[in-house]
Amino acid sequence: MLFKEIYADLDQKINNGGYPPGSTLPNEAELQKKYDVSRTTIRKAVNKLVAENKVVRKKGSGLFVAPIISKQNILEMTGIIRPLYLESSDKIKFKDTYLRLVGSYYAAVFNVSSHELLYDISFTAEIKGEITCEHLLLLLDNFPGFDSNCLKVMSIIEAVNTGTQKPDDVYQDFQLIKATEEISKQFHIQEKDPVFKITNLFSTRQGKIVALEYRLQDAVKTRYSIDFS
Amino acid sequence: MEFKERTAAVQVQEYLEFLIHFKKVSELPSQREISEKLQVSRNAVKHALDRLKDEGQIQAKERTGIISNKKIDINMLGMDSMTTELKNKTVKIEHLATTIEKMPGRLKDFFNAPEGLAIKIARIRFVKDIPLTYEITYFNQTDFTRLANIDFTNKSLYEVLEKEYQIRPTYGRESIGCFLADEKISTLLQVKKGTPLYQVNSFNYQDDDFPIESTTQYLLGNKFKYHFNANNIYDYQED
Repeated sequence: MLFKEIYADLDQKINNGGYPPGSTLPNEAELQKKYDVSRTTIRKAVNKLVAENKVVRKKGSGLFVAPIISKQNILEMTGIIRPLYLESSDKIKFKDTYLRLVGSYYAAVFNVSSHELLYDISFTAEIKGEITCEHLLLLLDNFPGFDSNCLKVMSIIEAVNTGTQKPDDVYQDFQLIKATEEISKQFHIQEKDPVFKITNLFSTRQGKIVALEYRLQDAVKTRYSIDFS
Repeated sequence: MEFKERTAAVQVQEYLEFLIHFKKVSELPSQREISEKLQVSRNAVKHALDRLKDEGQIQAKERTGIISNKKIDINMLGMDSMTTELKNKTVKIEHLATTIEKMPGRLKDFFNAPEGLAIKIARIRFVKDIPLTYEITYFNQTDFTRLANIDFTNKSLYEVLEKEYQIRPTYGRESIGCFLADEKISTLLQVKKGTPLYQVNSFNYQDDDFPIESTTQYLLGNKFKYHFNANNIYDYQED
């Protein structure tokens, strides 16, 4: 098999959704086995996909289908508050990912039964040396089979759009709070130092909340901007 | 993904958030009541309360126990002025001073005025006699000369602007950061030096890209929160 054929096969699977945006691709060794060709041939095919921005190669984590929403897209969204520096998910470290009961509070937030299940995903993202703490809650019902690894290459705003019900709107709550002990360690600051907490509630046009994101950043080091009319 | 029970502290925190945000309880149950109700240790309750305190969701009140902390919620979208935002509160505005100064370097581009003068208006806003915000607004002196002579005590800047010049900002840009109160601002807002404040810089225009004013606001960090509402977020695509 020629590298061009392998390239075309992978490209087609990416285009027709066989490998959706943000999903993990088999690594080069696995691809080599699958197509029964040399490593060089595989590398050439993958390199071409990477060069065309269709595949992302992440050091230490493997190959991913490139996300659709770029940093530039996020910057062009009006009415959304975002940090002044571009958002990119460099160096993701997962703290905790598990399924849990919704419980009384999130039952009220999501307007579902407290016995349903939620993905509870916490991770830190390092952007230009600055740490952001992320905490994402997704209803299992809306994101069956959610693979948290997609967050290694995908922005949260795109990840929350991969469920069965798609959000249209976001309600953002923005507050200055004090660092708890755990947070102060993450940011290498003192306990009680100021931290910005953004709560993003993603909802469908009908007002059904499908995802909730908490984002924490060191307040003294982060500025945000917003355009509005 | 594996199933896991929430930690006891997380359970307590979410239970209290439910009481605060959905049951609108202003006085929370005691630590003992909470630990008995949820069958968790007093330590877990303490941990959750500390966290909610750090987040400014609750505050301890002498003798009466723990109460929820109601922050003033400001909608950042739309061109409503601060006066409109606080409409349900008894607000007093103290006009500290109006001065005419050389255009500050950082505003030369915004006002398109490399040379020239700026009118600088400094005000403090009080709610129930507590100073909550300190605001400094700049205008280009050549465009709004008459504003220099106006007493803004208890007056909305935008209302005056509309009356005097039949003009109102229609769009803008804001940037928000955190500023630790310095000597001057801590005195004005009657807080300790180093208190975290929101620092909001806004740049406001009229339709035809005409720059009207730029304001720097300092707001007490633990008294305010902001919210934004964006619709059709995925419709950003290429115009």
